[in-house]
Amino acid sequence: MSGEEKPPAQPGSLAAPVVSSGTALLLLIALVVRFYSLGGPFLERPETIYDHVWPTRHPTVDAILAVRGARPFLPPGAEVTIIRPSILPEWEPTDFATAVGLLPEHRVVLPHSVARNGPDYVIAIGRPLSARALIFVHPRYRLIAGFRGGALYRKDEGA
Amino acid sequence: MIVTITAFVAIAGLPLCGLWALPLTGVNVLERGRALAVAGAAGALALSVAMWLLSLAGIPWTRPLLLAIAVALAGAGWYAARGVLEWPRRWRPSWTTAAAGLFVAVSAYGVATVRSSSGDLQYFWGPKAIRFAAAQKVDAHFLGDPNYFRLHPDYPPLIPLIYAWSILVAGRFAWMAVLMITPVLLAASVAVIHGGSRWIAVLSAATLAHTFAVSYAAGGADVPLVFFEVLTLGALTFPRDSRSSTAIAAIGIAGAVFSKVEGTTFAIAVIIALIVARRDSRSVVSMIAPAAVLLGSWLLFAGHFGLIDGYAMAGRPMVAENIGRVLAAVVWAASYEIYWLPWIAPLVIIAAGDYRRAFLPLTVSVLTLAAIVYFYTHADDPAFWIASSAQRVLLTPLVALLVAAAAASGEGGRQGQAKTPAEAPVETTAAATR
Repeated sequence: MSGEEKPPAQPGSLAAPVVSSGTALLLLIALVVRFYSLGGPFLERPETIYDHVWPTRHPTVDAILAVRGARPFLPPGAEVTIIRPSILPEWEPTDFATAVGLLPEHRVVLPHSVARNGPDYVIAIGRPLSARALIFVHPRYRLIAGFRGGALYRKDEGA
Repeated sequence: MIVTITAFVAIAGLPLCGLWALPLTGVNVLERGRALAVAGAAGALALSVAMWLLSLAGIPWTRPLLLAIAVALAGAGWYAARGVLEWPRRWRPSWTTAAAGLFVAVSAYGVATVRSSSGDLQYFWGPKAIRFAAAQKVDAHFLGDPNYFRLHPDYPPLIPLIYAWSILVAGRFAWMAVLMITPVLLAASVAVIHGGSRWIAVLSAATLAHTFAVSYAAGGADVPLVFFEVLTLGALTFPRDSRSSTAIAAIGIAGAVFSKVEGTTFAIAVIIALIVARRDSRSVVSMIAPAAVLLGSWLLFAGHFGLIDGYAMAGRPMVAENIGRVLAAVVWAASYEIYWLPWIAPLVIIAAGDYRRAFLPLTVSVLTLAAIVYFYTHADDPAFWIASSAQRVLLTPLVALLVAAAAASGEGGRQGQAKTPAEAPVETTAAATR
């Protein structure tokens, strides 16, 4: 023995190590189970930042893919909106916000403008090249491109 | 990939722009992890304030100009801190450090494989940053456009400013880079709590890794807000000297109010707690002054361009009949899908320890919790609002509780911790700058 006097035990001196380590272990298990339950692949580079936030496909994944697909066809400064044909005449604010962020060189307008004078372009979100995504029937617009995640329509010059 | 790495380095390297804070705050008496966290907060704040001032002055942000400012900040900070910078000769990690590191690594895995991405990143923080970078300013025209009213035009600008900085450095917005800042801020927050208690640092790492994932916080403003809050509460709860606690808290509070509307609620809770704890009124004024100036300038700007929205919430009438529903929904959200364990564990430690040491963070926890319930009762139909945000806004009272547990656990006693903030030991200037 060194003969040094031990410091007096502090209140709760055992509580912190015991409770912290026990809780940490439970939280570690919960975290691993959670990440596993969100599904694989577990090591591949994701395509979008929402690929694994839900066990099922997050709707914003399609919106991101549709906007990415449409971007090369959109001239700078073009007025554009984004719709989800499957929920028309309703529209999804998160789709709209996604387009605002991914199209900084364009003027993204609210979807209900389609029913009025209408923007130059409409991005329709749908499953990759599914028939439903391509069916956006409006007398003023015609399909100009289909791609993974949706399709792009342009206002007909003569309309 | 190179864009992602460049953008990540641009943000993760912000502690270099905050070296000036080391001699100013006396943080050289702190352990290195916590000093690095202070430098990071100071750097993010300094750069965002510089971008904000440039925008107000009508000077467009350009890559050379912003890089010159960053280099000037780093150079001046390096010069000012040359006497206090000391590199570790040998790093000896403890078991608790390794355990906390494990949670940071697991969290990083979840973020990197996009399992905890914030909706707010895609839906307004990212779009704002991209539009600001394209306009080379805080774009009032964009924020005031009726098409974009859902992008919360009056939310404070620190997050889009820092993200816009990364865009201007890297060339475009790197979504993965801003996501990967989450584990960095998790590590920084844990480093601060480590200054109070090693074991609560492990508990905090586990709790924050879990709650960030469950609440989908990665990439949004809640993780930086938590970091600024932990920094503030750590400074006020584990003081080495009153000078450093005032200066660090001032940086933390300013960062919090400039990051998120809820940061103002946190600042008010801290002021009330300090007044109740009978803290010296001069130091309280010093702590709050930078935040008041920043928030004031932002509210003037937002008011001038007709952008006020979120800040007007408190003026709406309370829907009294919703109180029961709100309480039930908030309590349910607070379970974090693991039976309220994140709350129970620190409460047990506080109950078993010296709760008098935890007075200030406990008061902040209770006040911010009450504020959350108060704001939710102002919505006609709060169900969706609570479901989409409660787990993230509850992070504030939760981290305050974790800091309280660190204070109460008794470990901090050997680090010069005071029983209440009013009793904080005051080191001499010579000791503080050694």
